[in-house]
Amino acid sequence: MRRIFIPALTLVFLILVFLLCFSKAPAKEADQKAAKDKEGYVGVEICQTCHQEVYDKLSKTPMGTLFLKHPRTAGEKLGCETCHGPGTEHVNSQGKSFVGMVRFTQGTPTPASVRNNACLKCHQKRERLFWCGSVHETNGIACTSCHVVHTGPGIATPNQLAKLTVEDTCAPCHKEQVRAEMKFSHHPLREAKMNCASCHNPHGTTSAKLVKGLTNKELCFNCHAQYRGPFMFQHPPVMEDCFNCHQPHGSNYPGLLKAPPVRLCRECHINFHNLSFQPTGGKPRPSMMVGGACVNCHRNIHGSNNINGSLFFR
Amino acid sequence: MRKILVVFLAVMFIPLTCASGFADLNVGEYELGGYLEVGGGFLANYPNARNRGYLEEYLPFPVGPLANTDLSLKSKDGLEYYNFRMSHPGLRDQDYLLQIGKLGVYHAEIEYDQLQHLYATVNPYNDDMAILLQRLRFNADYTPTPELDLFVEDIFLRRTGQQPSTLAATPTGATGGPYAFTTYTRPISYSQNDLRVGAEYDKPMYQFRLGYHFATFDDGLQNENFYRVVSTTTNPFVSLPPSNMANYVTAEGGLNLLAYKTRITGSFSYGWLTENDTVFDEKGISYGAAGLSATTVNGDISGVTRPIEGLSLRYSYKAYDFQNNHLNNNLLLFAFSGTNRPLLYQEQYSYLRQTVTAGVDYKVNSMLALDAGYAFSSVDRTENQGNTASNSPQFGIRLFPTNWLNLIANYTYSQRLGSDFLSLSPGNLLTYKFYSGDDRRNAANFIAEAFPVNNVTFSANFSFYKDTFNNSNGYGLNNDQGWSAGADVSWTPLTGWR
Repeated sequence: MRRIFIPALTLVFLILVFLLCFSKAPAKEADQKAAKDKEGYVGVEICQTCHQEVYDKLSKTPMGTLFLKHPRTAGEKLGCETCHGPGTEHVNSQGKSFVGMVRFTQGTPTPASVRNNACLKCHQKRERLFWCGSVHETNGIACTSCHVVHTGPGIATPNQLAKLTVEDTCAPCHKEQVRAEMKFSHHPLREAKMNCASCHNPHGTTSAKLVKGLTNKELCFNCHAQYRGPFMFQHPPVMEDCFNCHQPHGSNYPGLLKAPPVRLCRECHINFHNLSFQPTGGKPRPSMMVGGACVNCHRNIHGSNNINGSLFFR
Repeated sequence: MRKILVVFLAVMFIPLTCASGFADLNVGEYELGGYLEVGGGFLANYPNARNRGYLEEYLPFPVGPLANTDLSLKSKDGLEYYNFRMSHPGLRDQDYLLQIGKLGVYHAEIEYDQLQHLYATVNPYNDDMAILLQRLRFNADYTPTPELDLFVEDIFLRRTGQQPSTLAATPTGATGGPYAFTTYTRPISYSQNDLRVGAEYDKPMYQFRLGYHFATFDDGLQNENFYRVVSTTTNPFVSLPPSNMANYVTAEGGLNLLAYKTRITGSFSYGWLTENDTVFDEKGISYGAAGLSATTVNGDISGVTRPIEGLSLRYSYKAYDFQNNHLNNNLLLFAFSGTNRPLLYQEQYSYLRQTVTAGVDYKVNSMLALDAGYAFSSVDRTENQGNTASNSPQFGIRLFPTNWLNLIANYTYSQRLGSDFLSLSPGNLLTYKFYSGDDRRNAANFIAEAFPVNNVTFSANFSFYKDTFNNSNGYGLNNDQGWSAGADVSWTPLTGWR
């Protein structure tokens, strides 16, 4: 299996490059079609006559500044209709008909995918590259479920979130994770030094659980590079996945461990020191299975560079 | 405890905001806006150093003068901007951010911030057990045309201080008498730097991105004799985290195919990791440079196809290969000599993780949507170290009975099986080397969202899981289950308020 891995990936990569080249022609056709469809557009000034308040708010946002005052492309010149679609029929019906328009208000009959396509026309790159097929897209989440464009108090927040913070935005659906942050051992989210988006890209990733890394451990190394190694003596669970032992959202055990230290180690090492273990030699001592338990002595449990470090001693 | 309570009240009520102001002024061709808050705080009963860790783990008490500001300078055409934010200057959680940019053309920002991690343990030699984390971050984006993005980011992290390291128990009296447990610290002086540069080309039908990530870690202390205080042995040297380096090159892209409304995305990443720090023994004797290296290859291709209205098909394949390149390293062969040699292969093996997913979503009508998915994942290890596989089907249903109510439910079953166990002796319990054992998990989530009026949102959530562990009778933990529930209400009475 390992022998065919690299050639298979190379083949996939070449296919992707071929498809990229092949797609250029349809892209031009799409541009021409878009230009043709412009006939149904009414222009920003007409929208302003009824939606002046919305216009004022939009014009204060970065997107509004570009669309309304300094458009760079033909698409941006369409202003409101860049996102909402052609408004001729809406205007002719004196605002009663929304046929052909994309609406973003709560409860709108416009499907989330259609609403999202309006955003993705310009925002498909960078963090949104893997939006399609992501867990949020699959669950029918619209861009406007979390972001606002010209309504609501969130237009003044970074990234124009619908709620005041990232945690508030994620919390309605991810209470278990937010609740874990209240545990004694936690990352500094509730102290506002991190947020959910520090580790996750909610718009989609190629990795599981939307983490911002090739795998979980590459994510953790962004701040904890001391555990990256390679080490002379590797602890296999560390080499494969930090989450074998740690619960990143919060834990009642020190060091974000998934279980009390002594129990965690014994999940794999069942036949080693008993719970009343006393080190040999020296003065009589009580059990060393208090506090950090095994790690009291096996301090370099993430890996050791000591030539005699096979047992990860300090 | 009483003293601590007094401190809490002091923290909550004594800090005062003496003055704050909001400005919105014309300065030549620019508009100045923002606010400045000035104030101060003090504690009536400052906790002693040993108690501080319980109260201010990550954030210090805001004692002394306080100033926060968020100022922005914008050109009158709205295109150019300069923002400056500052919070808690002079405190251990201080933060300064400067942003400059021109809409649609470039954006650059530089930020310096700090974070403390104060530990709530006691030590007879040191009361202030804490790490100070300092971060200097710079990033810039340049968009010469709407299709092209160039970006660079550099993050420098530095950790200094002392961290609890080990526990010692010392008899305080005669044999059999009480013991004093003492947490001992070790000094920390870590620096790491992560530089990322990249470029992205974007068209409506496709996007393509190239990136390079260069990461370094440096331990400023090397091997130190800091356990001398607790050890009378002649071997007190400690092996600290070795300095290391990693490089990753990544290519990613997405393609919108007109046929069957399909979007294909893919990524490919190659990384190489090196560690060449000096290897010591416990007496501080050098054995030369480690000369270790490993490589990672990560590939992913996934797609979404919508052949008919309301139907989505999802599929993906991901592979991650971790390759250790040093089984013939002379130092390793020396360290794993004799009866230790089998351990070399149990620790320095390589592995390939593969994941395949498939799913289907179908929107039956405007009131009902269904989805189903399946994920298979496996880890194959070299050097006869076995494999692990997991299967996970899932189902979901979304109901929209009215335009103000959403009901969402999903259920996931996952099963994990491995062949990498060690049977210590015939008939003995199984010991798994890479995870806690075979298990099955049933998990369900329910979410209800209601929007009775446009400025009010209710949401309620309930989650449940149950784990069952195979062959665990002898361990005492055969299963585990838990649940969580919560509700939110969001009300926006006026524009600008929540």
